[in-house]
Amino acid sequence: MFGMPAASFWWFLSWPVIWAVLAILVYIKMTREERSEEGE
Amino acid sequence: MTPSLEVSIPPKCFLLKPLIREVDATCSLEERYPGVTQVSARLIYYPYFGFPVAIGSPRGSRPSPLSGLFCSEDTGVPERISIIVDLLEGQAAVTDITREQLEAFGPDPLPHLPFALTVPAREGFPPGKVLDARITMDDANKTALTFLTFIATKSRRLRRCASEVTLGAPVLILKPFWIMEIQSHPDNSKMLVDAVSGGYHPILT
Amino acid sequence: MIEKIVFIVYLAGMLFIGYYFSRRDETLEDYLLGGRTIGPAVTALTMQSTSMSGYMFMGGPALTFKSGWFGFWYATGDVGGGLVNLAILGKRMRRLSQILGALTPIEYLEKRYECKAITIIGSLISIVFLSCYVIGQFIASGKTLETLTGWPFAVSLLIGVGVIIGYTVSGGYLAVCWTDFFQGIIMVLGMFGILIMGLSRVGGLTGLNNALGKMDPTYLSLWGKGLEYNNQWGVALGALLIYAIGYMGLPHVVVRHMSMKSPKTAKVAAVYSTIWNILFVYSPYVLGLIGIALLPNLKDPEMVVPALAHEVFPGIFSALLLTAIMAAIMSTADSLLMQAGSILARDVYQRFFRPNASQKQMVFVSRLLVFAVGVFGIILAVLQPPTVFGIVVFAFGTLGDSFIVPYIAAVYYEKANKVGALAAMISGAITNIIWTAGALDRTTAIHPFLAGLIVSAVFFVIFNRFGRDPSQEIKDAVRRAMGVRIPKGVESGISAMMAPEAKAVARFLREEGVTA
Repeated sequence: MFGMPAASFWWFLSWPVIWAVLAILVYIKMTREERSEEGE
Repeated sequence: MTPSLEVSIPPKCFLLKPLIREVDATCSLEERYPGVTQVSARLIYYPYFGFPVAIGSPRGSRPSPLSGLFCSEDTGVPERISIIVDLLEGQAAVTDITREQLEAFGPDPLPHLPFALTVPAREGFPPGKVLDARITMDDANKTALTFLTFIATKSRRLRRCASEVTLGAPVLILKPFWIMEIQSHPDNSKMLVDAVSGGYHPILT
Repeated sequence: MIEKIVFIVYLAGMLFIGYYFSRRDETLEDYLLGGRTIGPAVTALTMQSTSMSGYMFMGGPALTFKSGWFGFWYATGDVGGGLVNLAILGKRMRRLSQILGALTPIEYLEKRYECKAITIIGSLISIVFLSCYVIGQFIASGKTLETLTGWPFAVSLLIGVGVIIGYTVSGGYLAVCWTDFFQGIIMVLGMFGILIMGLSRVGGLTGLNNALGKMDPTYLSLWGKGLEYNNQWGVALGALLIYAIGYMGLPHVVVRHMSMKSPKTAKVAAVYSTIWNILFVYSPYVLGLIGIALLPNLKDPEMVVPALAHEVFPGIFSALLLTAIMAAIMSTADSLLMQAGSILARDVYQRFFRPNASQKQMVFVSRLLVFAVGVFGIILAVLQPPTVFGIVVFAFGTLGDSFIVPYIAAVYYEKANKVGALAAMISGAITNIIWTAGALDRTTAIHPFLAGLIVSAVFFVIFNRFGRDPSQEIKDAVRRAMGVRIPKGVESGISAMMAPEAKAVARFLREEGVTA
């Protein structure tokens, strides 16, 4: 993959995807918290 | 802000009969909250406008029996569903309250709103203050109409007879709630308990 | 020539922002925290551009230039740093700082832990190490300008730093945030543009990897050139963690939580900062790799990015890159300067010398002290330019190790008390200093930052037992900052339909409380 060993590829280049997914999860979680806290 | 609900023709007023008693509400919360030390409850009544909605039957089908909050006798509308609009937050919803749960209440006609009204004690229940309305009757009407349009486009059954959907004149409905103060460890909190259905929601002050 | 024009336009723009905001600072809260009005986009970009210093253009690329893909262990953690920071501290720190009425991150700790000694020790640690950090940035700006324009070091330093001091002193925190916002955009555009240019020169990522593989296949491995760190997962984990959680201990970064418009700002800012990081953080590291292929004979690895700009890219890109590097340095330096000045003004001058100073006097004194820190930094930077990133990494580590545990415990553990917080601060700082001075990382294979963090956390847990619980007032404040927690069994049964009623009743109870 991109001329690099598979281990390096997965360890280094999958992180942007992981962080992006985590960011979305954080967003959803915080939105839920807000709803339950403010009753909107 | 001073809420002014100018009701030119004061609507009829109904009380939704409380079913959940203080002891039931307290016990159920005590069961769920670990480390609870004390629970105190206070009854209030929350005002809504209830609107009957009349729907013509789809062509070719037999008219189904009338149902809903008011039936035709009170409002003169062949009602099939009813909408309530919350008079503090202005939120509309379809309600499943039935006629049997209601009883006529109060000085008829009702004094102008906001009410500064207390529902007297009744068997097994203390007196409860009625919360003051914050939105006007006009706004409540508009909200109900917008909401009806919204659900009419969502529901296939309603869409088929959209031209025959009409909103009747509102009645005032007072719904009982318990405000529960829960002293527990590590958090003290407040909970709003629906004194009819037993549903609950935290209150964040 | 074009480099100088682009650069002068950029500096003038930054000064204009400073001038624009100088007229809006009326109260001390305006000057030190921008009146807590910063929205999500500016919060995200100021936080990230502050976090990413000149190190990103020099230390980071140098690492991949020397070790190959191994350097990406640092980059991967760094990408999530903003998200972790905002998700863990953001909302709670914003709430608690306002409940406590704290204007600086040190005042916040003092009020939370109800302890004067925290102000003294916290101010001392933060002023010393923020100053070290700022001097590192000043030197970096001088060096960069010197390399790329040919102006002498002292002149370059005075020009670069003069502008930073100018807009920070005049415009205060708002100017810092807004210049950071634009600098953040310049950084990501410049970096991304150069990355695409660079990759096209070497035949894309595949071409780059093929070229590296031919030179030395271990460049492509997880463990560095010549498999230097073969299977040292401890090192990898340390590298991953440092920049993922380290920013939570930096006063000039966490102050961004306190200045947010509302607690809700945090979630949107978390998304923005993750997007920005994904676009920005990998680029300098990849440029380091491109340097291996294009500049194999480079002597000073820290200069790999400026050298690429100078030798490989045509004028306009070189100017863009120069500006991006300066933006990275300046956006960090201004925040450091601002925080050092704020802490001196609020936590030292007002706290111990003039508690009755008026708002107007305090804004003036804050300006004066920010200016003083800047001048002091310039003098030290001119007199004795030590190795830039030695200082920066050391200052970063010490600040992080002192403050991460107290900041997290402040909003997650209501019984966290002053004894625990003080123990965590002091032990964290001392461990990092000893570890670095004694080069203990070589013998233990544990990074000084990680060592300091572990010791700090352990000391907190032990010593917190010896302190008295915080006052009821503080416990209540912390609970409010946490948001009301509802037991699991209750939470699952909540009737969402009742949310409007619950909101209205909450307001009714508040109003009743006011009139009663």
